[in-house]
Amino acid sequence: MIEVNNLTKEFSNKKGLFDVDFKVEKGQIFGYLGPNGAGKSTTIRHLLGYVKPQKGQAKINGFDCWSESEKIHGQLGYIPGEIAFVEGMSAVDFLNLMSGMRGTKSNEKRNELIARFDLDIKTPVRKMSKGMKQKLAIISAFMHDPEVIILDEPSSGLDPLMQREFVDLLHEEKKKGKTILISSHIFSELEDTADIIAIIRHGKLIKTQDVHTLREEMAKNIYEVEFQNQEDVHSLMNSDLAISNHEGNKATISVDRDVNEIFKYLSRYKIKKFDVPKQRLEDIFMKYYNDKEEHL
Amino acid sequence: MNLALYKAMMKSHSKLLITYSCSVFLYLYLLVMTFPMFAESQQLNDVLKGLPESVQVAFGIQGNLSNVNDYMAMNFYNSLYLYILMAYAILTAIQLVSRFVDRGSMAYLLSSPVSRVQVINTQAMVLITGLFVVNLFTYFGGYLGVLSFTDKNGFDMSIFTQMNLIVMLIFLVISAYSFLFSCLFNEEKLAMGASFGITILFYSLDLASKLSEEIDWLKYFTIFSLYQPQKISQGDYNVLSTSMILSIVAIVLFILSASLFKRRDLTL
Ligand SMILES: Nc1ncnc2c1ncn2[C@@H]1O[C@H](COP(=O)(O)OP(=O)(O)OP(=O)(O)O)[C@@H](O)[C@H]1O
Ligand SMILES: [Mg+2]
Repeated sequence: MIEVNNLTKEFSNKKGLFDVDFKVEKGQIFGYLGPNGAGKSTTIRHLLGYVKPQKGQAKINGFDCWSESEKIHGQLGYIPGEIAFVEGMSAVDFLNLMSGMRGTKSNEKRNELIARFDLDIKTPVRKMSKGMKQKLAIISAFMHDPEVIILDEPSSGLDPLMQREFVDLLHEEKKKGKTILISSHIFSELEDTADIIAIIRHGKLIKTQDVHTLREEMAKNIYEVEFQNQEDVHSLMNSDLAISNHEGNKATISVDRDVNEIFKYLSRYKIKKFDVPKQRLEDIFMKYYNDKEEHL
Repeated sequence: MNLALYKAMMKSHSKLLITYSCSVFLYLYLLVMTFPMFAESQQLNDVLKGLPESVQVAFGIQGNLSNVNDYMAMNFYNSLYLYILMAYAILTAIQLVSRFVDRGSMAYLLSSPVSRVQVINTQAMVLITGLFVVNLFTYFGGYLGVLSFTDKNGFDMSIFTQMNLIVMLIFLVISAYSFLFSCLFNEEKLAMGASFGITILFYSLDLASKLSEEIDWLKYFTIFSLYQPQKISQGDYNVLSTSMILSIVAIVLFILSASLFKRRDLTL
Protein backbone atom coordinates (compact mmCIF):
# COMPACT_ATOMS: atom_id res chain seq x y z
CA MET A 1 0.00 0.00 0.00
CA ILE A 2 1.22 3.47 -0.89
CA GLU A 3 0.17 6.46 1.16
CA VAL A 4 1.04 10.05 0.44
CA ASN A 5 -0.09 12.58 3.02
CA ASN A 6 0.13 16.33 2.52
CA LEU A 7 3.40 15.92 0.71
CA THR A 8 5.01 19.30 0.13
CA LYS A 9 8.34 20.18 -1.39
CA GLU A 10 9.05 23.63 -2.71
CA PHE A 11 12.16 24.15 -4.82
CA SER A 12 13.96 27.48 -4.94
CA ASN A 13 12.25 28.27 -8.24
CA LYS A 14 8.78 28.03 -6.58
CA LYS A 15 8.09 24.76 -8.36
CA GLY A 16 7.61 21.49 -6.60
CA LEU A 17 4.78 19.68 -4.83
CA PHE A 18 2.06 21.19 -2.72
CA ASP A 19 -0.09 19.21 -0.31
CA VAL A 20 -0.26 16.14 -2.46
CA ASP A 21 -2.51 13.50 -0.97
CA PHE A 22 -3.38 10.07 -2.30
CA LYS A 23 -3.52 6.41 -1.49
CA VAL A 24 -2.98 3.28 -3.55
CA GLU A 25 -4.40 0.05 -2.16
CA LYS A 26 -3.21 -3.48 -2.72
CA GLY A 27 -4.48 -4.87 -6.01
CA GLN A 28 -4.96 -1.43 -7.44
CA ILE A 29 -3.31 0.32 -10.35
CA PHE A 30 -2.97 4.02 -9.76
CA GLY A 31 -2.47 6.20 -12.82
CA TYR A 32 -0.58 9.38 -12.12
CA LEU A 33 -1.29 11.73 -14.95
CA GLY A 34 0.06 15.18 -15.61
CA PRO A 35 1.73 17.34 -18.21
CA ASN A 36 5.51 17.74 -18.42
CA GLY A 37 6.99 19.32 -15.33
CA ALA A 38 3.85 18.76 -13.24
CA GLY A 39 5.64 17.00 -10.41
CA LYS A 40 5.11 13.31 -11.14
CA SER A 41 8.77 12.36 -10.95
CA THR A 42 9.23 14.55 -7.89
CA THR A 43 6.48 12.62 -6.10
CA ILE A 44 8.08 9.34 -7.14
CA ARG A 45 11.49 10.49 -5.86
CA HIS A 46 9.85 10.94 -2.50
CA LEU A 47 8.41 7.44 -2.67
CA LEU A 48 11.87 6.04 -3.41
CA GLY A 49 13.40 8.01 -0.55
CA TYR A 50 15.72 10.05 -2.78
CA VAL A 51 14.46 13.34 -1.37
CA LYS A 52 13.22 14.37 2.02
CA PRO A 53 9.74 15.88 2.25
CA GLN A 54 9.52 19.44 3.48
CA LYS A 55 6.14 18.74 4.94
CA GLY A 56 3.94 15.69 5.05
CA GLN A 57 4.94 12.10 4.56
CA ALA A 58 5.12 9.31 2.03
CA LYS A 59 4.66 5.76 3.29
CA ILE A 60 4.85 2.36 1.66
CA ASN A 61 3.51 -0.68 3.48
CA GLY A 62 3.50 1.41 6.63
CA PHE A 63 7.17 2.39 6.48
CA ASP A 64 8.37 5.94 6.04
CA CYS A 65 9.87 6.38 2.58
CA TRP A 66 12.65 8.69 3.74
CA SER A 67 13.84 7.19 7.00
CA GLU A 68 12.99 3.51 6.50
CA SER A 69 13.63 3.08 2.80
CA GLU A 70 15.77 -0.06 3.22
CA LYS A 71 12.77 -1.84 4.74
CA ILE A 72 10.67 -0.96 1.72
CA HIS A 73 13.09 -1.59 -1.11
CA GLY A 74 13.26 -5.37 -0.77
CA GLN A 75 9.64 -5.47 -1.92
CA LEU A 76 9.84 -2.66 -4.44
CA GLY A 77 10.15 -2.66 -8.20
CA TYR A 78 11.01 0.62 -9.85
CA ILE A 79 11.47 2.00 -13.34
CA PRO A 80 13.02 5.48 -13.27
CA GLY A 81 11.73 8.25 -15.54
CA GLU A 82 15.12 8.64 -17.10
CA ILE A 83 16.70 5.26 -17.27
CA ALA A 84 20.46 5.25 -16.74
CA PHE A 85 22.03 1.86 -16.19
CA VAL A 86 25.41 1.43 -14.57
CA GLU A 87 27.94 2.13 -17.28
CA GLY A 88 30.15 -0.44 -18.90
CA MET A 89 28.01 -3.46 -18.06
CA SER A 90 26.18 -6.01 -20.12
CA ALA A 91 22.49 -6.56 -19.46
CA VAL A 92 23.16 -9.83 -17.67
CA ASP A 93 25.79 -8.22 -15.44
CA PHE A 94 23.33 -5.52 -14.56
CA LEU A 95 20.58 -8.00 -13.72
CA ASN A 96 23.02 -10.03 -11.64
CA LEU A 97 24.01 -6.90 -9.77
CA MET A 98 20.41 -6.05 -8.99
CA SER A 99 19.62 -9.61 -7.91
CA GLY A 100 22.73 -9.63 -5.77
CA MET A 101 21.91 -6.36 -4.07
CA ARG A 102 18.36 -7.51 -3.45
CA GLY A 103 19.45 -10.93 -2.30
CA THR A 104 17.12 -12.61 -4.80
CA LYS A 105 17.61 -16.36 -4.73
CA SER A 106 15.63 -17.63 -7.68
CA ASN A 107 16.13 -16.66 -11.31
CA GLU A 108 12.89 -18.24 -12.41
CA LYS A 109 10.79 -15.13 -12.90
CA ARG A 110 13.72 -13.31 -14.42
CA ASN A 111 14.24 -15.94 -17.12
CA GLU A 112 10.53 -16.02 -17.78
CA LEU A 113 10.49 -12.25 -18.30
CA ILE A 114 13.56 -12.31 -20.52
CA ALA A 115 11.85 -14.86 -22.76
CA ARG A 116 8.57 -13.00 -22.68
CA PHE A 117 10.06 -9.66 -23.69
CA ASP A 118 12.51 -11.32 -26.04
CA LEU A 119 15.63 -9.51 -24.85
CA ASP A 120 19.15 -10.47 -25.80
CA ILE A 121 20.88 -10.08 -22.46
CA LYS A 122 24.40 -10.58 -23.75
CA THR A 123 24.32 -7.14 -25.37
CA PRO A 124 26.31 -4.43 -23.62
CA VAL A 125 23.88 -1.83 -22.31
CA ARG A 126 25.72 0.85 -24.24
CA LYS A 127 24.76 -0.78 -27.52
CA MET A 128 21.09 -1.25 -26.72
CA SER A 129 18.28 0.54 -28.52
CA LYS A 130 15.81 2.61 -26.53
CA GLY A 131 13.23 -0.16 -26.60
CA MET A 132 15.75 -2.77 -25.46
CA LYS A 133 16.76 -0.57 -22.52
CA GLN A 134 13.12 -0.17 -21.65
CA LYS A 135 12.66 -3.94 -21.67
CA LEU A 136 15.70 -4.37 -19.47
CA ALA A 137 14.27 -1.82 -17.06
CA ILE A 138 10.96 -3.71 -17.00
CA ILE A 139 12.69 -7.03 -16.32
CA SER A 140 14.74 -5.55 -13.53
CA ALA A 141 11.64 -4.00 -11.96
CA PHE A 142 9.58 -7.20 -11.96
CA MET A 143 12.10 -10.03 -11.68
CA HIS A 144 12.12 -10.22 -7.88
CA ASP A 145 8.33 -10.39 -7.73
CA PRO A 146 7.93 -7.22 -5.67
CA GLU A 147 4.76 -6.27 -3.78
CA VAL A 148 4.89 -2.63 -4.71
CA ILE A 149 5.68 -1.47 -8.23
CA ILE A 150 6.42 2.14 -9.15
CA LEU A 151 6.79 2.98 -12.81
CA ASP A 152 7.74 6.41 -14.07
CA GLU A 153 6.59 6.61 -17.69
CA PRO A 154 7.37 2.98 -18.38
CA SER A 155 6.19 2.27 -21.89
CA SER A 156 7.87 4.98 -23.94
CA GLY A 157 9.99 3.32 -26.59
CA LEU A 158 8.13 -0.01 -26.66
CA ASP A 159 6.59 -1.12 -29.92
CA PRO A 160 2.81 -1.81 -29.90
CA LEU A 161 3.33 -5.56 -29.55
CA MET A 162 5.54 -5.19 -26.51
CA GLN A 163 3.29 -2.49 -25.14
CA ARG A 164 0.47 -5.04 -25.27
CA GLU A 165 2.65 -7.58 -23.49
CA PHE A 166 3.47 -5.01 -20.86
CA VAL A 167 -0.19 -4.13 -20.26
CA ASP A 168 -0.92 -7.85 -19.86
CA LEU A 169 1.90 -8.15 -17.36
CA LEU A 170 0.47 -5.27 -15.34
CA HIS A 171 -2.94 -6.91 -15.22
CA GLU A 172 -1.42 -10.20 -14.06
CA GLU A 173 0.51 -8.45 -11.32
CA LYS A 174 -2.58 -6.58 -10.26
CA LYS A 175 -4.50 -9.84 -9.97
CA LYS A 176 -1.78 -11.12 -7.66
CA GLY A 177 -2.57 -8.23 -5.35
CA LYS A 178 0.35 -5.97 -6.12
CA THR A 179 0.21 -2.25 -5.47
CA ILE A 180 1.06 -0.44 -8.67
CA LEU A 181 1.66 3.23 -9.46
CA ILE A 182 2.23 4.33 -13.06
CA SER A 183 2.97 7.87 -14.10
CA SER A 184 2.42 9.21 -17.56
CA HIS A 185 1.77 12.43 -19.39
CA ILE A 186 -0.44 10.78 -21.94
CA PHE A 187 -3.79 9.36 -21.05
CA SER A 188 -3.77 6.48 -23.50
CA GLU A 189 -0.86 4.91 -21.64
CA LEU A 190 -3.06 4.56 -18.57
CA GLU A 191 -6.41 3.92 -20.23
CA ASP A 192 -6.08 0.14 -20.40
CA THR A 193 -4.55 -0.31 -16.99
CA ALA A 194 -5.41 2.25 -14.33
CA ASP A 195 -8.22 1.81 -11.80
CA ILE A 196 -7.82 5.30 -10.45
CA ILE A 197 -6.43 8.27 -12.27
CA ALA A 198 -5.12 11.30 -10.43
CA ILE A 199 -4.23 14.40 -12.34
CA ILE A 200 -1.46 16.65 -11.16
CA ARG A 201 -0.65 20.10 -12.47
CA HIS A 202 1.87 22.58 -11.19
CA GLY A 203 2.54 20.38 -8.19
CA LYS A 204 -1.08 20.13 -7.06
CA LEU A 205 -3.51 17.25 -7.44
CA ILE A 206 -6.49 18.65 -9.27
CA LYS A 207 -8.64 15.57 -9.73
CA THR A 208 -8.76 12.00 -8.56
CA GLN A 209 -11.16 9.89 -10.53
CA ASP A 210 -12.21 6.28 -10.32
CA VAL A 211 -11.99 5.04 -13.89
CA HIS A 212 -14.61 2.30 -13.44
CA THR A 213 -17.42 4.58 -12.28
CA LEU A 214 -16.44 6.97 -14.99
CA ARG A 215 -16.80 4.24 -17.56
CA GLU A 216 -20.18 3.24 -16.17
CA GLU A 217 -21.38 6.79 -16.34
CA MET A 218 -20.22 7.05 -19.87
CA ALA A 219 -21.90 3.82 -20.79
CA LYS A 220 -25.21 5.60 -20.26
CA ASN A 221 -25.17 6.66 -23.82
CA ILE A 222 -27.00 9.15 -25.92
CA TYR A 223 -28.31 8.83 -29.46
CA GLU A 224 -28.17 11.59 -31.99
CA VAL A 225 -31.00 11.28 -34.47
CA GLU A 226 -31.55 13.31 -37.60
CA PHE A 227 -35.10 13.13 -38.98
CA GLN A 228 -36.34 13.62 -42.55
CA ASN A 229 -39.06 15.97 -41.36
CA GLN A 230 -38.67 18.65 -38.78
CA GLU A 231 -42.23 18.09 -37.47
CA ASP A 232 -41.20 14.69 -36.23
CA VAL A 233 -38.90 16.34 -33.75
CA HIS A 234 -41.89 18.22 -32.31
CA SER A 235 -43.99 15.13 -32.00
CA LEU A 236 -41.02 13.43 -30.34
CA MET A 237 -40.94 16.26 -27.84
CA ASN A 238 -44.47 15.43 -26.85
CA SER A 239 -43.60 11.81 -26.20
CA ASP A 240 -42.15 10.74 -22.87
CA LEU A 241 -38.69 10.07 -24.30
CA ALA A 242 -35.94 12.03 -22.64
CA ILE A 243 -34.84 14.59 -25.18
CA SER A 244 -31.78 16.33 -23.87
CA ASN A 245 -31.28 18.60 -26.82
CA HIS A 246 -32.83 19.49 -30.16
CA GLU A 247 -32.09 21.74 -33.06
CA GLY A 248 -33.77 21.88 -36.47
CA ASN A 249 -34.44 18.29 -37.51
CA LYS A 250 -31.93 16.86 -35.03
CA ALA A 251 -32.62 15.55 -31.55
CA THR A 252 -30.45 14.08 -28.83
CA ILE A 253 -32.11 11.28 -26.91
CA SER A 254 -30.79 10.03 -23.58
CA VAL A 255 -30.84 6.29 -23.24
CA ASP A 256 -32.73 6.07 -19.97
CA ARG A 257 -34.71 2.88 -20.56
CA ASP A 258 -34.75 -0.35 -22.49
CA VAL A 259 -33.24 0.26 -25.88
CA ASN A 260 -36.06 -1.62 -27.63
CA GLU A 261 -38.66 0.80 -26.34
CA ILE A 262 -36.78 3.69 -27.80
CA PHE A 263 -36.40 1.98 -31.12
CA LYS A 264 -40.06 0.99 -31.20
CA TYR A 265 -40.95 4.61 -30.82
CA LEU A 266 -38.40 5.86 -33.34
CA SER A 267 -39.50 3.36 -35.94
CA ARG A 268 -42.60 5.44 -36.61
CA TYR A 269 -40.52 8.13 -38.22
CA LYS A 270 -38.37 8.45 -41.26
CA ILE A 271 -34.82 8.72 -40.03
CA LYS A 272 -32.05 10.31 -42.07
CA LYS A 273 -29.12 9.64 -39.82
CA PHE A 274 -28.50 7.82 -36.56
CA ASP A 275 -25.38 8.19 -34.44
CA VAL A 276 -24.09 6.99 -31.07
CA PRO A 277 -21.51 9.60 -30.22
CA LYS A 278 -18.63 8.01 -28.36
CA GLN A 279 -17.40 10.12 -25.55
CA ARG A 280 -13.80 9.22 -25.04
CA LEU A 281 -12.21 9.05 -21.63
CA GLU A 282 -9.30 10.94 -23.02
CA ASP A 283 -11.50 13.93 -23.86
CA ILE A 284 -12.73 14.10 -20.29
CA PHE A 285 -9.19 14.22 -18.98
CA MET A 286 -8.08 16.58 -21.67
CA LYS A 287 -10.66 18.95 -20.28
CA TYR A 288 -8.83 19.05 -16.95
CA TYR A 289 -5.55 19.74 -18.63
CA ASN A 290 -7.09 22.70 -20.44
CA ASP A 291 -9.72 23.90 -17.97
CA LYS A 292 -7.21 24.68 -15.33
CA GLU A 293 -5.05 26.51 -17.76
CA GLU A 294 -7.76 29.15 -18.04
CA HIS A 295 -8.07 29.54 -14.30
CA LEU A 296 -4.40 30.26 -13.84
CA MET B 1 29.54 -2.89 2.48
CA ASN B 2 27.67 -5.02 -0.04
CA LEU B 3 29.50 -7.88 -1.71
CA ALA B 4 27.46 -8.03 -4.92
CA LEU B 5 28.00 -4.33 -5.51
CA TYR B 6 31.68 -4.57 -4.64
CA LYS B 7 32.26 -7.38 -7.13
CA ALA B 8 30.36 -5.60 -9.91
CA MET B 9 32.22 -2.35 -9.26
CA MET B 10 35.61 -4.06 -9.16
CA LYS B 11 34.78 -5.79 -12.41
CA SER B 12 33.81 -2.62 -14.24
CA HIS B 13 36.76 -0.78 -12.70
CA SER B 14 39.24 -3.52 -13.49
CA LYS B 15 40.28 -2.33 -16.93
CA LEU B 16 41.36 1.05 -15.63
CA LEU B 17 43.01 -0.48 -12.60
CA ILE B 18 44.99 -2.97 -14.65
CA THR B 19 46.14 -0.22 -17.02
CA TYR B 20 47.40 1.93 -14.17
CA SER B 21 48.97 -0.95 -12.29
CA CYS B 22 50.84 -2.35 -15.27
CA SER B 23 52.03 1.09 -16.30
CA VAL B 24 53.53 1.96 -12.92
CA PHE B 25 54.99 -1.51 -12.57
CA LEU B 26 56.71 -1.43 -15.93
CA TYR B 27 57.81 2.16 -15.63
CA LEU B 28 59.52 1.71 -12.29
CA TYR B 29 60.97 -1.66 -13.26
CA LEU B 30 62.50 -0.22 -16.42
CA LEU B 31 63.63 2.89 -14.58
CA VAL B 32 65.69 0.78 -12.23
CA MET B 33 67.24 -0.85 -15.26
CA THR B 34 68.84 2.51 -16.14
CA PHE B 35 70.19 2.93 -12.60
CA PRO B 36 73.62 1.28 -13.06
CA MET B 37 74.28 3.64 -15.97
CA PHE B 38 73.61 6.77 -13.94
CA ALA B 39 75.21 5.50 -10.80
CA GLU B 40 78.50 5.31 -12.63
CA SER B 41 78.13 8.68 -14.31
CA GLN B 42 79.83 11.11 -11.94
CA GLN B 43 79.20 13.86 -14.46
CA LEU B 44 75.42 13.88 -14.04
CA ASN B 45 75.74 13.83 -10.30
CA ASP B 46 77.97 16.85 -10.50
CA VAL B 47 75.48 18.70 -12.69
CA LEU B 48 72.70 18.03 -10.20
CA LYS B 49 74.84 19.06 -7.28
CA GLY B 50 75.59 22.28 -9.13
CA LEU B 51 71.93 23.34 -9.02
CA PRO B 52 70.91 25.89 -6.33
CA GLU B 53 70.11 24.26 -3.00
CA SER B 54 66.49 25.48 -2.94
CA VAL B 55 65.79 24.05 -6.40
CA GLN B 56 67.24 20.75 -5.30
CA VAL B 57 64.99 20.72 -2.27
CA ALA B 58 61.90 21.78 -4.17
CA PHE B 59 62.20 19.07 -6.78
CA GLY B 60 63.49 16.43 -4.41
CA ILE B 61 66.77 15.92 -6.18
CA GLN B 62 69.18 16.61 -3.38
CA GLY B 63 69.77 12.91 -2.96
CA ASN B 64 72.55 10.79 -4.23
CA LEU B 65 72.08 9.25 -7.64
CA SER B 66 74.43 6.44 -6.77
CA ASN B 67 71.99 5.06 -4.20
CA VAL B 68 69.11 3.10 -5.71
CA ASN B 69 66.61 4.21 -3.05
CA ASP B 70 67.35 7.84 -3.79
CA TYR B 71 67.38 7.16 -7.46
CA MET B 72 63.83 5.82 -7.40
CA ALA B 73 62.63 8.57 -5.07
CA MET B 74 64.04 11.32 -7.28
CA ASN B 75 63.11 9.95 -10.65
CA PHE B 76 59.74 8.44 -9.94
CA TYR B 77 58.24 8.87 -6.48
CA ASN B 78 58.95 12.57 -6.41
CA SER B 79 57.73 13.31 -9.89
CA LEU B 80 55.75 11.20 -12.31
CA TYR B 81 54.30 8.91 -9.65
CA LEU B 82 52.73 11.82 -7.79
CA TYR B 83 50.91 12.91 -10.93
CA ILE B 84 49.84 9.39 -11.80
CA LEU B 85 48.42 8.85 -8.34
CA MET B 86 46.73 12.25 -8.32
CA ALA B 87 44.97 11.39 -11.56
CA TYR B 88 44.07 7.88 -10.43
CA ALA B 89 42.83 8.82 -6.96
CA ILE B 90 40.72 11.75 -8.07
CA LEU B 91 39.26 10.24 -11.24
CA THR B 92 38.33 7.04 -9.43
CA ALA B 93 36.80 8.85 -6.46
CA ILE B 94 34.67 10.95 -8.79
CA GLN B 95 33.65 7.99 -10.93
CA LEU B 96 32.49 5.95 -7.98
CA VAL B 97 29.82 8.32 -6.67
CA SER B 98 29.44 11.64 -8.43
CA ARG B 99 29.25 10.14 -11.91
CA PHE B 100 26.49 7.77 -10.81
CA VAL B 101 24.53 10.65 -9.33
CA ASP B 102 25.13 12.92 -12.30
CA ARG B 103 24.16 10.31 -14.89
CA GLY B 104 21.28 8.95 -12.83
CA SER B 105 22.42 5.34 -12.44
CA MET B 106 22.61 5.87 -8.67
CA ALA B 107 18.81 5.58 -8.83
CA TYR B 108 19.21 1.87 -9.50
CA LEU B 109 21.72 1.24 -6.74
CA LEU B 110 19.53 3.07 -4.23
CA SER B 111 16.31 1.39 -5.30
CA SER B 112 17.65 -1.85 -3.82
CA PRO B 113 17.45 -2.75 -0.13
CA VAL B 114 21.11 -1.80 0.27
CA SER B 115 21.16 1.41 2.29
CA ARG B 116 22.81 4.63 1.18
CA VAL B 117 25.53 4.27 3.79
CA GLN B 118 26.27 0.72 2.66
CA VAL B 119 26.43 1.79 -0.99
CA ILE B 120 28.86 4.59 -0.14
CA ASN B 121 30.99 2.38 2.05
CA THR B 122 31.19 -0.20 -0.71
CA GLN B 123 32.27 2.44 -3.21
CA ALA B 124 34.88 3.65 -0.73
CA MET B 125 36.17 0.09 -0.39
CA VAL B 126 36.52 -0.10 -4.18
CA LEU B 127 38.54 3.12 -4.13
CA ILE B 128 40.77 1.90 -1.30
CA THR B 129 41.30 -1.46 -2.98
CA GLY B 130 42.28 0.23 -6.22
CA LEU B 131 44.73 2.55 -4.54
CA PHE B 132 46.26 -0.34 -2.66
CA VAL B 133 46.67 -2.42 -5.80
CA VAL B 134 48.36 0.40 -7.74
CA ASN B 135 50.77 0.97 -4.87
CA LEU B 136 51.46 -2.71 -4.53
CA PHE B 137 52.37 -2.97 -8.21
CA THR B 138 54.71 -0.01 -7.86
CA TYR B 139 56.31 -1.60 -4.84
CA PHE B 140 56.90 -4.88 -6.63
CA GLY B 141 58.03 -3.10 -9.79
CA GLY B 142 60.72 -1.31 -7.85
CA TYR B 143 61.70 -4.33 -5.82
CA LEU B 144 61.91 -6.66 -8.81
CA GLY B 145 63.89 -4.01 -10.67
CA VAL B 146 66.39 -3.85 -7.83
CA LEU B 147 66.66 -7.65 -7.77
CA SER B 148 67.14 -7.86 -11.53
CA PHE B 149 69.42 -4.96 -12.33
CA THR B 150 71.46 -3.93 -9.30
CA ASP B 151 73.87 -5.59 -6.95
CA LYS B 152 71.40 -4.90 -4.08
CA ASN B 153 74.14 -3.67 -1.80
CA GLY B 154 72.95 -0.09 -1.61
CA PHE B 155 69.26 -1.07 -1.41
CA ASP B 156 67.43 -0.66 1.89
CA MET B 157 64.23 -2.70 1.83
CA SER B 158 62.81 -1.24 5.02
CA ILE B 159 63.20 2.36 3.85
CA PHE B 160 61.72 1.45 0.48
CA THR B 161 58.72 -0.10 2.25
CA GLN B 162 58.24 2.91 4.50
CA MET B 163 58.39 5.26 1.55
CA ASN B 164 55.73 3.28 -0.29
CA LEU B 165 53.54 3.16 2.79
CA ILE B 166 53.66 6.91 3.34
CA VAL B 167 52.94 7.63 -0.32
CA MET B 168 49.96 5.31 -0.23
CA LEU B 169 48.56 6.86 2.92
CA ILE B 170 49.00 10.41 1.63
CA PHE B 171 47.05 9.43 -1.44
CA LEU B 172 44.49 7.68 0.70
CA VAL B 173 43.76 11.06 2.26
CA ILE B 174 43.66 12.70 -1.17
CA SER B 175 41.26 9.97 -2.34
CA ALA B 176 39.19 10.50 0.77
CA TYR B 177 38.60 14.21 0.34
CA SER B 178 37.95 13.71 -3.38
CA PHE B 179 35.45 11.05 -2.39
CA LEU B 180 33.84 13.50 0.00
CA PHE B 181 33.39 16.01 -2.83
CA SER B 182 32.12 13.18 -4.98
CA CYS B 183 29.44 12.47 -2.38
CA LEU B 184 28.50 16.11 -1.95
CA PHE B 185 28.12 17.48 -5.46
CA ASN B 186 25.40 16.70 -7.96
CA GLU B 187 27.63 17.40 -10.89
CA GLU B 188 30.60 15.31 -11.82
CA LYS B 189 32.42 18.35 -13.22
CA LEU B 190 32.04 20.29 -10.01
CA ALA B 191 33.31 17.43 -7.86
CA MET B 192 36.25 16.89 -10.17
CA GLY B 193 37.08 20.60 -10.26
CA ALA B 194 37.04 20.85 -6.47
CA SER B 195 39.23 17.77 -6.03
CA PHE B 196 41.83 18.73 -8.61
CA GLY B 197 41.73 22.36 -7.50
CA ILE B 198 42.54 21.57 -3.89
CA THR B 199 45.15 18.97 -4.77
CA ILE B 200 46.99 21.26 -7.14
CA LEU B 201 46.78 24.03 -4.56
CA PHE B 202 48.37 21.73 -1.97
CA TYR B 203 51.06 20.78 -4.42
CA SER B 204 51.86 24.41 -5.29
CA LEU B 205 51.98 25.39 -1.62
CA ASP B 206 54.47 22.62 -1.03
CA LEU B 207 56.66 23.74 -3.91
CA ALA B 208 56.47 27.38 -2.80
CA SER B 209 57.30 26.58 0.81
CA LYS B 210 60.41 24.75 -0.30
CA LEU B 211 61.59 27.37 -2.75
CA SER B 212 61.70 30.25 -0.30
CA GLU B 213 62.72 30.27 3.35
CA GLU B 214 60.41 33.21 4.16
CA ILE B 215 57.25 31.37 3.24
CA ASP B 216 58.21 27.96 4.47
CA TRP B 217 55.36 28.17 7.02
CA LEU B 218 53.10 27.30 4.05
CA LYS B 219 54.15 23.71 4.63
CA TYR B 220 51.66 23.52 7.49
CA PHE B 221 48.84 23.97 5.01
CA THR B 222 49.62 21.21 2.59
CA ILE B 223 49.54 17.46 2.82
CA PHE B 224 52.47 17.13 0.41
CA SER B 225 54.90 18.45 2.99
CA LEU B 226 54.51 15.07 4.65
CA TYR B 227 55.99 13.42 1.64
CA GLN B 228 59.76 13.50 2.22
CA PRO B 229 61.55 10.46 0.85
CA GLN B 230 64.89 12.04 1.83
CA LYS B 231 63.96 12.24 5.46
CA ILE B 232 62.61 8.73 5.38
CA SER B 233 65.85 7.45 3.94
CA GLN B 234 67.85 9.33 6.56
CA GLY B 235 65.70 7.78 9.25
CA ASP B 236 64.53 11.05 10.84
CA TYR B 237 60.92 10.70 9.77
CA ASN B 238 58.35 9.48 12.23
CA VAL B 239 56.76 6.87 10.00
CA LEU B 240 54.55 5.29 12.63
CA SER B 241 52.83 8.38 13.97
CA THR B 242 52.49 9.96 10.54
CA SER B 243 50.87 6.80 9.19
CA MET B 244 48.47 6.72 12.09
CA ILE B 245 47.47 10.35 11.64
CA LEU B 246 46.99 9.92 7.88
CA SER B 247 44.90 6.79 8.38
CA ILE B 248 42.70 8.46 10.96
CA VAL B 249 42.14 11.52 8.76
CA ALA B 250 41.20 9.26 5.84
CA ILE B 251 38.79 7.23 7.95
CA VAL B 252 37.13 10.36 9.31
CA LEU B 253 36.72 11.72 5.78
CA PHE B 254 35.18 8.47 4.57
CA ILE B 255 32.75 8.34 7.48
CA LEU B 256 31.84 11.97 6.88
CA SER B 257 31.21 11.22 3.19
CA ALA B 258 28.74 8.46 4.00
CA SER B 259 26.90 10.39 6.66
CA LEU B 260 26.55 13.52 4.53
CA PHE B 261 25.46 11.47 1.54
CA LYS B 262 22.79 9.83 3.67
CA ARG B 263 21.18 13.17 4.49
CA ARG B 264 21.24 14.58 1.00
CA ASP B 265 18.40 15.19 -1.42
CA LEU B 266 19.22 13.36 -4.62
CA THR B 267 17.72 14.44 -7.92
CA LEU B 268 17.77 11.08 -9.62
N1 LIG C 1 15.92 19.67 -7.66
C1 LIG C 1 15.12 20.55 -8.27
N2 LIG C 1 15.36 21.87 -8.16
C2 LIG C 1 14.57 22.76 -8.77
N3 LIG C 1 13.49 22.43 -9.50
C3 LIG C 1 13.19 21.16 -9.64
C4 LIG C 1 13.99 20.13 -9.04
N4 LIG C 1 13.45 18.94 -9.34
C5 LIG C 1 12.37 19.20 -10.11
N5 LIG C 1 12.20 20.53 -10.29
C6 LIG C 1 11.10 21.18 -11.03
O1 LIG C 1 9.89 20.69 -10.54
C7 LIG C 1 8.96 20.52 -11.61
C8 LIG C 1 8.43 19.09 -11.58
O2 LIG C 1 9.38 18.21 -12.12
P1 LIG C 1 9.10 16.67 -12.34
O3 LIG C 1 10.36 16.05 -12.83
O4 LIG C 1 8.49 16.11 -11.12
O5 LIG C 1 8.03 16.69 -13.52
P2 LIG C 1 7.26 15.48 -14.20
O6 LIG C 1 5.84 15.62 -13.83
O7 LIG C 1 7.92 14.21 -13.90
O8 LIG C 1 7.42 15.84 -15.74
P3 LIG C 1 7.74 14.89 -17.01
O9 LIG C 1 6.44 14.42 -17.53
O10 LIG C 1 8.38 15.84 -17.96
O11 LIG C 1 8.65 13.82 -16.56
C9 LIG C 1 9.70 20.87 -12.87
O12 LIG C 1 9.32 22.18 -13.23
C10 LIG C 1 11.14 20.83 -12.50
O13 LIG C 1 11.86 21.77 -13.22
MG1 LIG D 1 9.08 12.81 -14.98
